[in-house]
Amino acid sequence: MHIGFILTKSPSEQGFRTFIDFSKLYINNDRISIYLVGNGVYCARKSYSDPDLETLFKSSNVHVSGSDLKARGIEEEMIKEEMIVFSEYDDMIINVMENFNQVVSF
Amino acid sequence: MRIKDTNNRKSSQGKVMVIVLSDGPYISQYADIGYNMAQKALDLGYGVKIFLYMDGVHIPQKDQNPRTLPNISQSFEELIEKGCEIKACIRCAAARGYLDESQFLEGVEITSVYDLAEWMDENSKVVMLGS
Repeated sequence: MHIGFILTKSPSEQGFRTFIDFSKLYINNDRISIYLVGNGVYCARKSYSDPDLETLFKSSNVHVSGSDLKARGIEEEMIKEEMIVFSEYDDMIINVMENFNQVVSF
Repeated sequence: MRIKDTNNRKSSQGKVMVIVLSDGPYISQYADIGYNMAQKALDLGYGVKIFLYMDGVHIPQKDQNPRTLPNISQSFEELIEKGCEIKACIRCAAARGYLDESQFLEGVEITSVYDLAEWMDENSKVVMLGS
């Protein structure tokens, strides 16, 4: 199964730990894609490290919104290497509608 | 009277993105994220339905004047013109003083939350956005 997560929350916001706990159900079992939008882009920073998040990211394709990074003053060189920066929502919408068996947003 | 482009928005694929918004405008980014997703989905030929829940019912209020921020009401008006269907939870609306649709953009319907359940079928994908 291919599951898509849309993460809109920073690590300090309510709901982030729920996302981490929920994602553990899928690691090693399913294909995972993650879209970081809004405050979710804070998870992409090199300076933020969380063992559970690192494990999840290693098992996933992670996309991050370029405009939301820019709005928060986060330069592309400040984010983790494996991130795919996107500028338009096309790819996310097509994945949600055509490729993900489930989509869950936090 | 606004003419809605509903026929095109049935979409060739027959697939519908359902977006549930539970945050009001100007307090978080969710209304803007929802708008951007809806706009892109419509441009790609998908149907889009938006259900406004809790403080989300403030989004289509007419005559907003945020001054320094983009007017979310105008943005949602564009979505309606493109064929987006928007419904607001009646209990959430009444609790916030919207007793009928007169304070909302034309095309926004106040309805039961059961309509949201009816939108969730095999042709739809549901995205929840809110705090």
